[in-house]
Amino acid sequence: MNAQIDLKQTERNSFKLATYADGINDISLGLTMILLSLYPFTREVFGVGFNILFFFAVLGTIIWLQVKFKSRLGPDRIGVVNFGQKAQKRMKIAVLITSLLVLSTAGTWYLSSQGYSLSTPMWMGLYGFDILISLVILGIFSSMAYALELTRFYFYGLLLSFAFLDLVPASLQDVAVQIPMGIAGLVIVAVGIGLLVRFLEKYPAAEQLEEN
Amino acid sequence: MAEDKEINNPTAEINQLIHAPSRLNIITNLYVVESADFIFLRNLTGLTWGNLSAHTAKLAEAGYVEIEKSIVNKKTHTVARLTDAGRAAFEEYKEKMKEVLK
Repeated sequence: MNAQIDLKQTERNSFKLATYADGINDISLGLTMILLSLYPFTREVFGVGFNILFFFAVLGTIIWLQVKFKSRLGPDRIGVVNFGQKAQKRMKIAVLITSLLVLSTAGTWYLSSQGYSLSTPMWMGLYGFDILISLVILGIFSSMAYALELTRFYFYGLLLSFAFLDLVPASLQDVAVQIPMGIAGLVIVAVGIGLLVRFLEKYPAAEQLEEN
Repeated sequence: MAEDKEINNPTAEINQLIHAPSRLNIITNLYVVESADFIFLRNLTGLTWGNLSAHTAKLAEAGYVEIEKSIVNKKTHTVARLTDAGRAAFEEYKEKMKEVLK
């Protein structure tokens, strides 16, 4: 019997099972990236004002579906867990920091797309904002990957940070879609679907097994 | 005799109720959360329903675990949580094991 009980690992396993096992968060993230990639295109179609409404309406739908699917699939297959107050506080702080980083990144990206420029050091050259945003994205996902031991988040971080580096060749600049972001979103959705399929196989509904 | 016992069996003072692998598995997973239902515990511990039920019942008899049953959507929903006595016993068990393995 191994008496070296790693409680941090046990807590991490519980959290991963409760939150990331079903792939639904990944699908949601991928869909959001696809939505972002279509932003320039929908702005052309709907105009600036309606585009913002459309964007938030779709984003709200994605989040609503995420919550709905999790609540339908989770309790019968994963079960229900209540984390202690300390753990909940840590999660809230992590969500708050991540949200602030995402909002500030999205804000600077938006300002950049509207023509505002930030003084960047000489060495940043043409890429300026894109490098900053890429590094922030890489930082967020790498931190999550490290903290939760979710290797795929390193991959997501690289994928999304490269997407922001504007790797589209000059000849394709006329296309009103952020192609690298769209591809990144599709890849993440595909990974999420794979995880969901595996989850449904690995965790069948437990309804018939509960004893009365 | 007691001295001989200590030399020959360093785990004599270990809480044997917790020390059993399945129960240690259950109590460790309950220690890091506020509460968990049987489905979640079964997924984490890998125990069968029967084993999980039997071992949590033993822990409940000792006052280490509290079990709550309710009906949710016409299905029995069983939730387990460690009691204060259970947490204290587990912490004591950890300390004793550290001494044993020093």
